[in-house]
This record gives sequence, C-alpha cells and structure tokens, in this order.
Amino acid sequence: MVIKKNKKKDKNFELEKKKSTTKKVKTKETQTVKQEKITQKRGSKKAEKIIKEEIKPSVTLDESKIEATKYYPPQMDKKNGQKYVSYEEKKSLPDETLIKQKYDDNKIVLLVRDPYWCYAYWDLSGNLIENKKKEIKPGWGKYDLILRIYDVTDIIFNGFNAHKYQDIKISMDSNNWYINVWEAGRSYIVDIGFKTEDGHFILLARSNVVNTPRDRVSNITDEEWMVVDEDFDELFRLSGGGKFGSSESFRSLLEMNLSSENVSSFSSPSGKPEEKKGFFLIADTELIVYGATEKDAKLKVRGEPINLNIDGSFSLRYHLPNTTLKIPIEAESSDGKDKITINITVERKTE
Amino acid sequence: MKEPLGYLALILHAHLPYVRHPEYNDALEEYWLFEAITETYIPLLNIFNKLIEDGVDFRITMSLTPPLISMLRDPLLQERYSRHINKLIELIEKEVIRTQFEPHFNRIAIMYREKFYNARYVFEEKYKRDIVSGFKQIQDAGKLEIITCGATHGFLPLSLYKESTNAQIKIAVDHYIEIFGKRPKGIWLPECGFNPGDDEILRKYGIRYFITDTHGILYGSPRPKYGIFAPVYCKSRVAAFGRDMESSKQVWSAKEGYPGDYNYREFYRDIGYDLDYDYVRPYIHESGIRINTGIKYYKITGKVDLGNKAPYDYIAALNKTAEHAGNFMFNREKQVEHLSRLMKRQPIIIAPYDAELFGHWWYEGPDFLNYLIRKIFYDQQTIKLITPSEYLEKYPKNQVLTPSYSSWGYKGYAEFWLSGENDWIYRHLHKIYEKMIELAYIFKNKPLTQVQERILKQAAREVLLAQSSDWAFIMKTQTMYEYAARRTVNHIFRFNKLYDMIKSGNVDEQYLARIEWQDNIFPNIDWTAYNI
Repeated sequence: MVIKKNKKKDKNFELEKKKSTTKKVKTKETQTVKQEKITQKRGSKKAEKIIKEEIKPSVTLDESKIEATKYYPPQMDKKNGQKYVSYEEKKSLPDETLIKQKYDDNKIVLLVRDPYWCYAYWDLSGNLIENKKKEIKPGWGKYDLILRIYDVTDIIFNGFNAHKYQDIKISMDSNNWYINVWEAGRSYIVDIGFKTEDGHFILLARSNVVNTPRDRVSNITDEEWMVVDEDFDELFRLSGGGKFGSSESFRSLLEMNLSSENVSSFSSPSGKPEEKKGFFLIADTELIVYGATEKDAKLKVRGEPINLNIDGSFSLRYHLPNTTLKIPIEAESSDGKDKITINITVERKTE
Repeated sequence: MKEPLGYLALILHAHLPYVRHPEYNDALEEYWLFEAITETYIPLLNIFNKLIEDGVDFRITMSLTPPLISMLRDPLLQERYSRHINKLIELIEKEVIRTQFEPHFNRIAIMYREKFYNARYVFEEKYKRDIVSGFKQIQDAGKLEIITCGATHGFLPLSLYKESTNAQIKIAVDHYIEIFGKRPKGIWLPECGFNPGDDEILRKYGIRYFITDTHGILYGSPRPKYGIFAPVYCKSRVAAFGRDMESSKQVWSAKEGYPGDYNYREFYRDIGYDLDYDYVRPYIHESGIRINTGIKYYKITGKVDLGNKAPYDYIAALNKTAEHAGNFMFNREKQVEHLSRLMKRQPIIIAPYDAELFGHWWYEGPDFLNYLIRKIFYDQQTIKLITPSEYLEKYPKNQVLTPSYSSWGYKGYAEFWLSGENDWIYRHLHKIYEKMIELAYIFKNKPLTQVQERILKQAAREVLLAQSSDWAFIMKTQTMYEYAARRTVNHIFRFNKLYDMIKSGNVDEQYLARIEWQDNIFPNIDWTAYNI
C-alpha cells in the first residue's frame, strides 16, 4: 500500500513535471523569437509590417470562456481548505499514466498554428546525433543546433531551391519551438541540423510541408460557378461511395508513406466571482421545526400538509429572514377524533 | 406566405466529450452531461415539440456529436441520470419548504420544482430514457436537421495524417447511419477546424456541406462574390457555409450580448456553495466537495460582487428574452433587406452556437429560441428559417473556391489547441495515429481471430478518445487540467498496451476486457478506417 502510494506520487509528479518543462522551454523560446524579430526588422521593413498587422480575430475569448463553462470545475472551498481530490489518489485502480517521453524516431514535425506562427517538435535519437557529430570536420569550427525554415511555396523542394530560408539557433536540450514565419498564405518546411561557424549545415531531420492560411481577402477575383444538385447522390454512388462499412473501393494501394487566458473561475457577465479579501464574517439563520405524532396522523404546518417519516416524526428546515413568524402545527388523528394544535412564534432581528 | 427576402439558418452544436466512468460511483465529469440534459437538451426538445403542436413551422439544424449520442444512449449513464434527477427533486422539495418565508426565493424554488419534475417525466416516461429518439422524431417531422461531427471531436487541422482525419469522419458517419438510418447531409467540423483538402474526405462519405468560420470563406480563393451570405463549393463539390459575425456577437458576447442582461440568471451563485454544508451534503459530490446543484436564486443584477446579487425574477427574465428575440429578429430583417439589394438572390445568414450555451450558460436561452422562432413565424415576412441542405436544393449553383484554414476558436486558428499548456500532447498523439495506421495496414487483409479483432477495435477506440479536442481545450482553460491530461495519457497508455499485445501475440484478455468495459464507445467501430 505504501509503495503504491509513493509510486503514484511519482507519477503525479511526472504530470506536473511535464507541465513545467514545457513552460520552461517556452520562456526560452520567446526570448529567441524576440531576437528573430529584431533580425527580421533589420532585414526588411516589409516583414516588420506584416508582423505588426495583426489580424482582427473574428472570434473573441468570450466564446472560449462560455464554452469552458461546460467543464465548470468545483471551486476551492477556501473556508474549509477542501480541494477536489482526483480519483487516483483515493481509488485503487491501476495507474495508467506512465508513457514514454521519447520515441527516438528521428523525426521533425511542423504544424500550423496561425498565419504567422508554426510549431515544430522533434525527437532525435542519441545515436543519430553522435553519428552526425562525427561528420563535422575539425576545421569547420564550433557548431550550433539550428532550425532552418524554408519558404517552399509552389516548389517541389529538393533541399536547395527554396525561395528563401532563415536559421534559428536553438538550445541543444529543447524539443519543440514556435517559429514566427515571414508571410501568411505560404508553404514552409523546416530542417533541424548542426550549423558550423564557417557555414556548413549537417541535416538531422526534415519536416513535412505545411501551408499557412492567408490573412486577408484573396486578390484572385476570377469566378467559377458550379451546380451540384440532387444528382450528387448518384454521382457519389457511381464514384464508389455507396459501400459503407466495407469501403474497399476507397482504399488505394497502400502507401505507408505518412509524410504527408486562465478561465478556471473566469468572470461572469458582470464581474469576477467574489474574492474574499482577508478578514470577513458571514452569518445567517435557519429554523428547524421538528416533532412527532402518531404514525398515521395527518399533520399540517402553516396550513400545508406534511408527509411524516415512517416513525411519525417530522423535521422541516426553513431559511429564517428578519421577521416575526407564526408557525401553527396541527395534528389530526387518522379517525379525525383527536386534534392538537401547537402555535410557535419566532422572531429574528439582526442588528 | 410570400417569398421571403432571405433566410436564416440557426445551427446548434451539441457536444460533450466521452466522460463515462463506470469505474467510479459518482464521477464529477458525468455531471457535465446531467446538467446539459436538464438545462439544455430537454428544454430544447420541449420547445420543439410545443412548436409542432402549435402548428408553428420552423427549421433548425443541430449537430449531435457521436460521443454525446453514445452517452445519451448508454444504459449506465441513463441509470445515473435517473438517480441524479431524483436527488435533485428531493432537494428542491426541501427548498420549497425552506424558502417559505421568502416569497421571492420561494417562487424560484417552485419554478425549479416544475422543471425538474418535467425533466424526469420527459426522460423516463416520454422517451423511455432515450432522448436521442426525441431529436430523431423532430428530424422525422421535417423540422430539425441533425448533422454529424468528428467521431470524437478531434481537431482536424492538427491531425497530421489523412488517415486519422478519415477515421474521424468515417466512424462518425457510420455511427450516424446506425442511429438515424440514413446518411448525414452535413457536418459540423469540430471547432469549425478546416484544413483545405479535408473536404475530399467529406465527399467520400457523402457529406454535402460543412460550416466554417467567417474568415474560412472570406479569405478563400478566389474571392467569394457574395461573402458569407451564400454557400460556396469546394472543388470536391462539397459546400461550405460561413458563420455570420453580427448575429454571432449578439448572442455570444459576454459584454454586449444578450446573456449579459442584468435580469438573467447568475451562473455563479448556486446553493451547492451557498447553503449550510450539512444541509446540502447529500446533494453534492460523494467526496463531500461542494459542486453546482443547478439551483440558483440570483440574477446577474449589475456590476456587483457575487455577494450582492439580487433575487432572480423568472417572469421579468422571460419578458427580457421576448424583447431580445424581437431585437435579434429585427436586426436580421434589416440585414437581409440590405443584403438582398446587393445580391442577385436570397441571402442566407448562418447563425451557429454551442447548444449548451442555451440553458446551461444562458439559462433563458431556450426561451429566447422559442420566442424567436414564433416571432419569425407570426410577426414578419422578410426572413424565413431554413436548413443549409434546403438552401442548397433551392440554389444548387454556387461559386467554386477553396476555403481557408480556419477554426472558430480564439483568434480563429489553432492557437487554443496548440499552446504552451497543451502542445506536449501532439508528439504522443501523432505517434499513436502512426501506429494505428500501421496496424490497419498490416491486419486489414489477414484472417483474424476473435481476440485480434477485439484488440484492433479497442485500439481504434483508444486512439479516437485520445484525440478529442476537449482535452487540449480544458488544458488551455486550466479548468480541469489534471483530468484532461490524465485522459489524454490514459488513452495513449492503453493504446500502446494493445499495440504491444497484438504485435507480440501476448494477449492479456483480462486487461482487454477491462478497457472494453471502460472505454465502450462505438461497439461496431470500423478500425480499417485507418487504412485509405
């Protein structure tokens, strides 16, 4: 039991750690990105302009915030220091949170985040790195790990024919990077490799191609129109689309080529949930009216019929505001012969 | 009725991730579903049914995602919802008594009592626990068009491999056919995430249209002649409809939008937090942590602290929804009048929302829809409600263009799902897509034992469940980071174990049976969808 608990702690720690490593990487990366921006600014005024020209987000954070209420978490109870305890801590189910952090598949993958930013992650084996280091000739000088991002718009890239490229120096222990790209609506590829002082580049891995979206209305105004109507279904069937469940006809011969704001308690429409500031006092009152009679008697409290518990007892709970209350309690035996009434008067004053 | 000047398509996207936890007695995440049933799905069904009963003609489009449908049809969750609504009824009965000396609260308690009893009746008796059948009936009556979504709401622009997008679409379409007996006409791409080329996959499965955000169409190429007020065709012949910003903002915006009105119910004051601990203890989470019960007595009131909110007045709030519905309709009329002068045809306005916005976040939202639909039917002749597929039948000729990469998430692209909080998941997700594609390739033409077939099916389920965009979303919002991270990692872990089993031949049948029981989505899953 003890061992298990410790193990779990470790794994929770793993999760936590993962979080913080990512954050660390990110800080580093923003710094470098800033440097990049500066070089760009020096390089061309145009690039600067593009960066500054933020697209106006059609989508505000409101929607994400509202959507997040679907997953509204329990709030911390500051008074009692209670916190929602995750299941694993209290249930004895097998732990299934330990996964490999590295696959050593010598791959770099590029993803599009928006018109100006791409995200790259990579996974290089120690072997590859050692072997490639051996290719660096002694006379080439010191070397750095770099990302080389190529603009390959409308090009079948062969490694040398990009419109342009840019090198970004990264730290040896990083494994992902956000890359600020020059221009929206272009195609990019990224290489990771060593770059020596005298300019030699030793490739470690090359990414997939990505296409970033345009950030403005297209200049192309040629119009093409098409009619798709009810015969769509027929055409669809004729193209082999009718065979659901055994879509053999769709499977082309197989290529295994695969290249191919903190809202946890965000504001309600009118303001943030109240934060208790330091010392406070909250007080309110409730009134409990209880008693018992014969099990089969009829009971009325304030004129309202009340269901008795099996043993003939009853208990009613009221919020008690500042007021004077008269509470008549009336019991009547099942044969209607006996009747007892108790009148209670309660007064609350708050000063 | 004479021909309207233009059309309005109301689109509600109903979705929750697969949060079924048979391994726990009282999983908090299941409350997401229960709240949505009581506050959104049942009220919407009631409204649609009443409209039909009153002879009001209307059209509405809803995406019901495969995980949501699967949960709504799951016997265990149905049993748990039944338990949940019965407890709520027990609590509200006590509340009606407790608030007797304060008529302003008592009125609200009585309102909740009516609604909870109604929810139980609709759930248990009217639909025999299967509320999906309720939506199906309204679809069969010709008023509602139900469309599909990604199989587990995977954010497609980050799926990297065509095969994994293919599986999200194919398995969703198969599931739709299983439930509704026909192919879906349209799809709500998860988070409206569109990546040019994905339309080819939609076409393959007979989907005729999808919805994008405004800039998906506006930044398309060539330039869209009619902006977002007419659909366009991708080269694949699949139509795309663009979201109208103006009608979106009126509802979505927390500041300028209707839901921020001071008369509406305050979301953040709930008796689960407000009342005496011992009193609410039986009605909160079994661990004793306070949670929302859904019983809320206050209105937004104004720019005041949560502690200074005034009591809610349902009648006043209803009057507001009527007023807001009138305003919304008026704005659409003006919009259409203006557009129809510029266009050579009747424009269509696409107004999509999260379904759970209505009722869960904006408590009076279903009443707003009710008033809006009635007003459109009775009070004017400028606009008419329509579904996207009906519009395509009316206007089969449309401009051809390639919509732009886009989503309806924050800032319009992938940032919400790809940022410092959640970017670590992609190297693992892509790895399991890769391995699943490999399995589908290897085993597709081989004779399989029953156990092998089970492993392949379960492996595909794990991949899909890991892919839900909800996990990255929750990590980004930091609402339930731990849970979302754990779900992601658990499914990756389970997939890897299954992968090793089938590759090595060392099968742990007990383990397999356990995760089949836990992650039981898509009983008839076609794992070969990972092979194209």
